[in-house]
Amino acid sequence: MRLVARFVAVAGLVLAGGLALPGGAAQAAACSNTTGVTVVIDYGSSSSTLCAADDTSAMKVLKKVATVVSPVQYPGTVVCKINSVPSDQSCQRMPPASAYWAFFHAPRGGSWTYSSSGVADYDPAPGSVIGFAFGSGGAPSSPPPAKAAPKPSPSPSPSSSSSRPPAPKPKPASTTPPRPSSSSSSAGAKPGTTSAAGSVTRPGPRPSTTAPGSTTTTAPSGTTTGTTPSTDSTGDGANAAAARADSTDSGSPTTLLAGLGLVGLVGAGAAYLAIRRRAAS
Amino acid sequence: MSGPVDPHAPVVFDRVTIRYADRPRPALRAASFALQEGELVVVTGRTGSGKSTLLGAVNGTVPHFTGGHLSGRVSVFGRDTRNHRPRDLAGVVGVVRQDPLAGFVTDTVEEELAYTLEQLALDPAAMRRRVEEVLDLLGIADLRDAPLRDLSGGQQQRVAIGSVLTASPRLLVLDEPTSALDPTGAEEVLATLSRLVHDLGLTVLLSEHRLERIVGAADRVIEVHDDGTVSDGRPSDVMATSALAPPVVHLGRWAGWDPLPLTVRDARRAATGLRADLSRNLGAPGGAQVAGVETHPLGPERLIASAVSVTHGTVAAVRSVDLSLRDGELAVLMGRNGSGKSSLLWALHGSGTRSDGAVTVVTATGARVDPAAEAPRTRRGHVGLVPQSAPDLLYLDSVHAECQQSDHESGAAPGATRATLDRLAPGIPDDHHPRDLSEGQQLALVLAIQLSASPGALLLDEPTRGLDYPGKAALATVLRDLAAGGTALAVATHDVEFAATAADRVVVLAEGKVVADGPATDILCDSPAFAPQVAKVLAPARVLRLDQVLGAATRLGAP
Amino acid sequence: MRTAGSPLARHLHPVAWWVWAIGLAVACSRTSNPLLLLLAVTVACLVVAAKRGSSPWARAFRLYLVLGAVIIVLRVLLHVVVGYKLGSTRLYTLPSVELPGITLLGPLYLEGLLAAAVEGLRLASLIACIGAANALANPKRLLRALPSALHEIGTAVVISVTVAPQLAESVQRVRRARVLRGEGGTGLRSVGRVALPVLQDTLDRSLSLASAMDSRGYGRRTEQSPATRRVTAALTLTGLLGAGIGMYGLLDSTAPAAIGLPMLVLGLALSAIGLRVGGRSVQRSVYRPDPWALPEWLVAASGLLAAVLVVVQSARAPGTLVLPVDPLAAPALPLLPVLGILVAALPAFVAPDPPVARRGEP
Repeated sequence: MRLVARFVAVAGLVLAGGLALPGGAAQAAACSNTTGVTVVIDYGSSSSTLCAADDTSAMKVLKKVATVVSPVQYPGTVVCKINSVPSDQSCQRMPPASAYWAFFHAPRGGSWTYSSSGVADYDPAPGSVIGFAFGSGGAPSSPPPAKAAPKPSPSPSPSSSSSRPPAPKPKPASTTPPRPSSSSSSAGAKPGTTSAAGSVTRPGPRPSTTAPGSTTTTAPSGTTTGTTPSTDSTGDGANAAAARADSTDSGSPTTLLAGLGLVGLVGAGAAYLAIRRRAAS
Repeated sequence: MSGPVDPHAPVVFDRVTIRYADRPRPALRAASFALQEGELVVVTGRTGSGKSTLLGAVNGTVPHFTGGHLSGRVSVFGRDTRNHRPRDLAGVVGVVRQDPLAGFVTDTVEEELAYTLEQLALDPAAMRRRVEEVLDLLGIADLRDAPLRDLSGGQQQRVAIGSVLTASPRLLVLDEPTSALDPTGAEEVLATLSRLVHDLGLTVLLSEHRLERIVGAADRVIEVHDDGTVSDGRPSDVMATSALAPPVVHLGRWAGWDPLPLTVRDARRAATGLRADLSRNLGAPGGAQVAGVETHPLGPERLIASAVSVTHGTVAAVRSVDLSLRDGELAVLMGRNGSGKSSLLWALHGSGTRSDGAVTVVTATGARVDPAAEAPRTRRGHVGLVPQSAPDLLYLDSVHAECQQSDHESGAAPGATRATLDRLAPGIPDDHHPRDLSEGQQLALVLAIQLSASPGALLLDEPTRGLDYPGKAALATVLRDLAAGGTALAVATHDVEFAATAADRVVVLAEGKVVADGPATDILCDSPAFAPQVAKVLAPARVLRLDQVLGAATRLGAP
Repeated sequence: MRTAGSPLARHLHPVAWWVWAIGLAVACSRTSNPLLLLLAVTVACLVVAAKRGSSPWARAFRLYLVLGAVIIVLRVLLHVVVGYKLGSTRLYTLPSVELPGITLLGPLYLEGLLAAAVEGLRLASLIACIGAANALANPKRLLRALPSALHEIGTAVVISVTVAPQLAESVQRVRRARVLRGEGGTGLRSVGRVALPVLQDTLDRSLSLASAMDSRGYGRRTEQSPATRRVTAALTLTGLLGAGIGMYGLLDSTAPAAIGLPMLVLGLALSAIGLRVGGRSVQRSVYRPDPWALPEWLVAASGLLAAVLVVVQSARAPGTLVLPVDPLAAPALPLLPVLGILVAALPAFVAPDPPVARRGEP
């Protein structure tokens, strides 16, 4: 089983690489199974396609394969930065309409649909595609990846059909997402844009170490609670660490105490004055 | 009016007729008169005559602001009001109205005093000086930062006068400046006015219902008759014939004194003989009751209050008052503003706040109930209240509708309210809008509505406000009739002359406590503050009103 | 009767207080760091406690604080009921209700609750700033500082402020009168019966006030030529329109830069000229105008400094101005904003004491 999975992952990588080289289309790492969710991220100057285990919301799926920063006002519900793109946003408020991450979804091989529900509310179907395009609302430049090539897959489901596979059924599938494999194709990458591309590749090394250990243990879809297995939590940890490194400067218990002390001090002054005034009148 | 009229006299009315579109009769008809510099002139007239119209016409508020058609000519210091709007005359004519609070634009004394000056674009230094002068002139320097709403009525009215005085007008027009004030406040204001006339030589034109307060100080009286015509003359001349005259004038006319006395002092000098006659007839000073006071037997207790206290926030308005009203009794509650009269009435009625104590009303069936515990509808049948602003009770668009609604509300037979109304104030047309009625008619309507539930006890809060002498006399008759019919009545009022005509019993409140309670003659004659004019003139004889003197005198033979 | 406070007691220029308060409010709006927000609220409390007058609206500051607290509670409740639940530290799981398109209740996470509370706190701090300005600066004095062309609008506002309590009074009086006629005074039917006399009352009051103002010289103005009037109106309207477009351009980042700040400045300038020209015909002066002296400069500057320092910090290190919730961590205590907000407490020391109003009656 594990062997098969590894084979699939490698095959996927090879396939993606192979396709990427001539065409530049970012289909390299589309899910090769019918249970994972393919994630297309269009940075504007470059794009990447990744495969993630299904989860209850597009946000959760995205977080598995990318570092996501939300605006302070809308934590966890709105995407402000993906893998540090855009770099010039402070992510205090809702991003401007001219430069934001538009969220699309599509069936494999279909066409992009601008999502009518939020990234945190949309529950992608297993085997479908979600797309994020940076800009003023346009769809990702690349079409949704075509259906997974019919492979010698042990999946019992007729996954090649366009109809959505019944979720619980393929549970025992050994087809696992080559999670999170990634590739980036910089179509005509300029020096300036490599940073984005570079950051995309950051999670890259992970699959080689984590994927094998986890992939087969859990069913990627059908579990509604969406509690993530160990890999996911490490992934989140990595994301969080990345997030901390690049955007938020948190304090320590000392700063917290110092701040509260300061507030208390000023507050005590105000209370003293108010009481004195009341006593005087 | 005789002789050539100075075209630059303070006020000249030349054949002025003013009509309003919705009134059949003109409010003023061919009014001609002129005011001289430094005069204090009082305008009298029945409620609803053209008094306010006349005063409004002086600075052009009529017709510039109120509408209506003016023919003839009104000029103020030579300025024709036809082409000078009120705002253009603001520096020349100061106008003060009945309710000072309704005319305040700002919220502190000093700002209010400066307001007119700001409008006149005086430079700040001069403005500062004038405001200080007026603060001193009116003795309100202590109040300069005070919020206007916190002031007493007399203080508010003085601020209102001050706020027009800062502009150094040469003419002051006041429309019933004291009618909303208690006697102390009214005294303050009138004393201020006569000082202004004497010290500054201001010309003052004011209207006033209670002539006893002011007619003695007036240089001239202008009477506006019901048909809109105007006559003017020296006070003693006008008073000799006018129906609107204070009790002292009626006494003087009856006694045939000449010159007719206008003040208690003059009358007292003239009354030496009458006093001697009375004391001979009535026995020793301070002795027996005067004959002719109609008395009827009092019934059982109807409304009993024991240890009633009322607190509003932190202010104690009524402190532990014991009071009981018997059937057929008419008790008058007196006391200065804020002495707790109103609070006590509302607490007795049961719909007002009562912080402590008990109130019991005896129902027609003899049951003893606490009115506060009753539903409003049932309570009405036991105890009724006519509030200070009686028109608040009226909300329908015709007298007829109000009467019908009242019959319905109180479960009385159809037409009952109308019948009562006709007894109280005959001849009010069914289709009139209640808001268009005169104060006396509105009061009669409200009284009829409250009586339709036939309560055993009726409470009235300041019913005489805005009533002229005949109106007050009519009200007194109505209330006496009710008392004679067995209703227990309590009336809160400032008006000592009204108390003298109506009351069986007087209760004096001060700072929420009863300080005096007894028969009207005892309380009113013994108190210098509350003694009516007749009592002051004829003291030590214990008489309150002219009819008592008449009663005594008929037994004496003619005066 | 109390004596006035210090001998130099006077009202600070109301505009100074408003500049200070707006500065502090801008600072609050740029951060969701609860430490900074709490600090700003306490600073506002300190200044109000030290320098408020004794007028009724000055006593209303507490109401603004209560309103703020209510907003925080509402914001958290809203989060519990309909909010998107996120976080990893689960506190409690409420049964979730699935409705089409929305999920009610559900699991509660510490991070989500904290984020909601901080959002509420930010709104509350803005309200506290506005409340502080209201408590410290008499709104009527502020209106007196208006240019004279706007004098009439100012007067209208003053009167409506004065009339409001009177309206409440007459409603109460009429309701009591309704009870006298045997009605409970509640229910929909009684509304109409209360409304009519109250309306009548209000109308009478307005008319008598208007007539009183008229006879006291309100509305005196010199005659203007129709041309001047037209120019004034055109200038003011165009200016306001321009300012509106400019504001829009400034806030909408997709708009071309030209219709942002330049348009706003141009519009405001045009309006200012219009008001100036229009004001020339209004002849009135101001009694004891509030001076603008050193304390005014200091107060206004302290508020502006707070805003500037927080804005600078948000450009330099925006992360320090937020509460990190993903993952949850202690908020930072950035030096510049803390300094700025503390400087905003300066008015508590440099502003003159307000004069103490003396009571009317002993």
